[in-house]
Amino acid sequence: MLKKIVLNDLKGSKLVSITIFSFILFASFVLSTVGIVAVNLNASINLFLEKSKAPHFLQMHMGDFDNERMDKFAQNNEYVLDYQALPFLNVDSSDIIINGERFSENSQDNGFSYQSENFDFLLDIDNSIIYPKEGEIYVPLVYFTNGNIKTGDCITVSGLNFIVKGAVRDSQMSSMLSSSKRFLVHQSDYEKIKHVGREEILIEFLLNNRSSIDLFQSSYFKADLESNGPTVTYSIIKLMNALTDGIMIAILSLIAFLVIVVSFLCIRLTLVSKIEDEYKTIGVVKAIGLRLSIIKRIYRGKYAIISVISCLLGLIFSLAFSGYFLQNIRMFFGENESTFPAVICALAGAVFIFLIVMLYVNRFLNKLKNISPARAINKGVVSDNVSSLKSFKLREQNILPTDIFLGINLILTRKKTYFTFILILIIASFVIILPNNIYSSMASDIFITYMGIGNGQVMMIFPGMNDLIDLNTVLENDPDIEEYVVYDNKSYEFMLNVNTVSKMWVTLGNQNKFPLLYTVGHAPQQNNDIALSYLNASSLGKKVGDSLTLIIEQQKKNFVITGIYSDITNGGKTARAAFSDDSKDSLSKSVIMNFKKDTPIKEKINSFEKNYPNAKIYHIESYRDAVFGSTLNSIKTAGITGMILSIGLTFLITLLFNNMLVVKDRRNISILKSLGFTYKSIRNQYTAGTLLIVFVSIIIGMILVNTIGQSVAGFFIQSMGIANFKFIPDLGFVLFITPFCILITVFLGINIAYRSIKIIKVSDYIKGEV
Amino acid sequence: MNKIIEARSINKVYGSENNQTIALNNVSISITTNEYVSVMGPSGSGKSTLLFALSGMDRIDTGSVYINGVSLHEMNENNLADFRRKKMGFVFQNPTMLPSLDILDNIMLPSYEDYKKDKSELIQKTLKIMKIAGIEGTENRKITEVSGGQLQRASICRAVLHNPEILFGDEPTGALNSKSSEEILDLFEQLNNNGMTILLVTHDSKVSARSKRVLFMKDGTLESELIFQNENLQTRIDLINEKMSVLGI
Repeated sequence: MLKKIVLNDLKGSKLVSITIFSFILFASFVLSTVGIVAVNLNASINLFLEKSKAPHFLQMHMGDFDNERMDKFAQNNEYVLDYQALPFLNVDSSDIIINGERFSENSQDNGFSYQSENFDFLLDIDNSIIYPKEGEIYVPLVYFTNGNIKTGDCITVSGLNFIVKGAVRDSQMSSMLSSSKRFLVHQSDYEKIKHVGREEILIEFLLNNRSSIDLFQSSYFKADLESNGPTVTYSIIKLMNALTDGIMIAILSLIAFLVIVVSFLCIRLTLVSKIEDEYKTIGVVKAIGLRLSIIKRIYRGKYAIISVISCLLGLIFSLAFSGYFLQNIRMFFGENESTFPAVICALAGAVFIFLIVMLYVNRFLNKLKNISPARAINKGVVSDNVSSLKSFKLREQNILPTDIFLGINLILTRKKTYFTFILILIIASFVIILPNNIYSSMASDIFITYMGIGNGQVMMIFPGMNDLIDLNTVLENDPDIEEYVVYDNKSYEFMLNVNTVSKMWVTLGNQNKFPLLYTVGHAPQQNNDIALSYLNASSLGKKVGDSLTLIIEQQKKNFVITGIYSDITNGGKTARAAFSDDSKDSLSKSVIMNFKKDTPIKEKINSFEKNYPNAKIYHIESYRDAVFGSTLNSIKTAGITGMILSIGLTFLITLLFNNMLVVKDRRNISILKSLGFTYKSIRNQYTAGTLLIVFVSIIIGMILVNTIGQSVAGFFIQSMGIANFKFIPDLGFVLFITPFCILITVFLGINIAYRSIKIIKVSDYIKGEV
Repeated sequence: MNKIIEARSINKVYGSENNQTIALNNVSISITTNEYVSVMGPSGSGKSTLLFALSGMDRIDTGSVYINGVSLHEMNENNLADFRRKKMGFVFQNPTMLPSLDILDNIMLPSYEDYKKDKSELIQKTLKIMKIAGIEGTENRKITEVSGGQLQRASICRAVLHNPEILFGDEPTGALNSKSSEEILDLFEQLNNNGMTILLVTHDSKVSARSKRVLFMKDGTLESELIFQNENLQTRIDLINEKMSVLGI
């Protein structure tokens, strides 16, 4: 009997059943896929880091290096398990020739290395340690995947030809978030090309215990060892490797959450209308003594069947198609050896969706408890919670045409009915706008200032002091330069607490030209002002107004913290000050400049490269694209996917909701028809109300994106060292394209749904009462 | 006298091929201006279908209906809707009011477009009619804040506000107590005396006794009719009951 009722119910409401089925299937598919991707990402990265023996602490250094002293430090340090100093040859991209063409378009810091002996191994795509023969070269994996270089290509460096044998998986530098990339050659070839570039030392430590990285870092800096380059720790290596896929997981989770919310809303909508339709019947079956649990079982049956089948199909689809989402993980980290945990996680995702759907249905059906049999049998219909508004009366308004007034009035007096529809439209506009806002923000010119770099056109970094004698004169006299600023990057000791001294990278210079974005406070202006990067301020527990003591010429000098800015350079822990100090050598100097209008920037960069062969010169826009290119692409893909999904969802829900609304409103529509209102007029009333809802929903969606959305996006981006992230929206997209897409979709949906108004016969809904 | 309503051989069938119900079977009727006519019959006799067919709210299968000589059959839905709004008024068994509007807005709703330029005139006219109907003071109330009788009077006010040529009533007192029913029927009589043509459908002889002509329906056909002259109310009721008894209704 129960089976027959449920099957009849399913047959009788095909559109609704298919819609709910599709949503639950999709939610189950996405959540199971999230489980598979997350387990694989974690397992593959761990396996990869284990096989490559990634260092726990890495200090880059350029210049003099005291190997003996470092050896001694490593031997005596209680935390160190193993230590190595690995040379890394920075070669200008234009000195790398691939199949006869210069690699100069590439703005990464490309360099050469040979295989390490003890740890930090460079692996091939089977995760085996590579030992290249003479004349062979292995190239960074990212150049393989984006099609720049392929096996068999010829790479020439300083007249020495290499044949590309394969790709390198590099635990430290594979990620596009790492600005350096390692090419792997034989040690003897490395010696032959050594004169082409500048050698940097990768000072690497494996520790006894990963939890002691902070303590070790402190002891390293305290020992005043070589440290003029960036510092990288194991957690940053892992984060950088996981970030691109991690963002995908986060976006998929968000989609799963939204789809499940929409499924709930659909279920709510259908259950409400079902209960309304069968209000009298429910009253009768209650009156004859049928227990609530049995009545609930009848209504629950349909959703149980839909949920079981859709969750199972979602699980099967996720197992079948998760390979697509795992491509990047397999390519960059290798295959996860055990698939069982991923399958269990996928199953858990599907079961979770099934359980929460059933829990929701069950909780919703508790409302049946409140139906009084006497009232239901007597009245026959659920009292519509509609009542006229005190302050919105037809006779008191002079602007709106009657149809539009009635449409708006219908919504204002039935907010609860429209709540579901509004919520879905808000979600749709949120999902469309949010990824686009993240994308437009990260792609905007201003975003570079979040990265710790001024918003100029070109940046030059001089690792040594040799070229700098006439730099100011040259820049000053260059007719093409509009403005520039030279920064001194120096390392200073500072008081970590009363007894402990640590070291900090401080950039000195005019901080008002090409200013960074200060999340709190402002740029340092006085000689005793200092600004800290967000990560630095967080780890030191400092805020604006606090003081910081630097040791300059053996003297303690107090500085006032005037601002906190976002920075992802040099491990994100930096400081900026305005004072000048000739007593201490610079670790490096950097220049940011803007050119006059119509200056050919590429040619200027080429000319600088010729004049300053040791300098690293970046076109800032290309630099940003190189660092965030893959992340931006992921966000763009997510944005387009979100937009297609949202539009499809909006269309489906519009159709479903408005169909139900017309069914629910048959009597009111009949009344209007009997009073002489035409089909067109009634349709206009509903259309006006719906369009009002669309506008309100889009506005609320926009507000939510800029408040909650910005906070959520900021939370993820904060982990990269970018604090207080603010959207820089693409106004054309937000204000025109999004509303236009949603409006057109809703309009199409209501046009189909409202056709049924035409076929409502007055006699069917008024005469029936006689 | 002018024929305000004329139906010629109208037929209406409900249901599918295998399960058909003949609601109207070759019905012809004519009603003259200022007549007060009732249609009586048991449930399922087709009396409501006749009312909906004559008012153009339901399409007939065959035959034709003319209002003031205009064929409803040849009008499209929009023209029919306009025609209804201007020429007809309706009162149903249960008051058909929109819950999203208060009493005054509900009454004014169908006439609103015609008076848009002079709303105050419409409001004054409505208040006057409400006073005549005995529901003054309820204009700002929600439809749930008045009694069934008051709501039905409001429905009548709405139906007659635009001075329709014909007032259709489908069991207009069916949901009211006897006191309210009497008051509503008094109101109808008053409207008829002022020149309005009235066509009521009812199964209550007390209601049909207030009209001047009673048509009797059975199984979709018009079986007979009674025309009253100067009989008192009780005589009329007795005559109606007697006729019904003869017809087996």
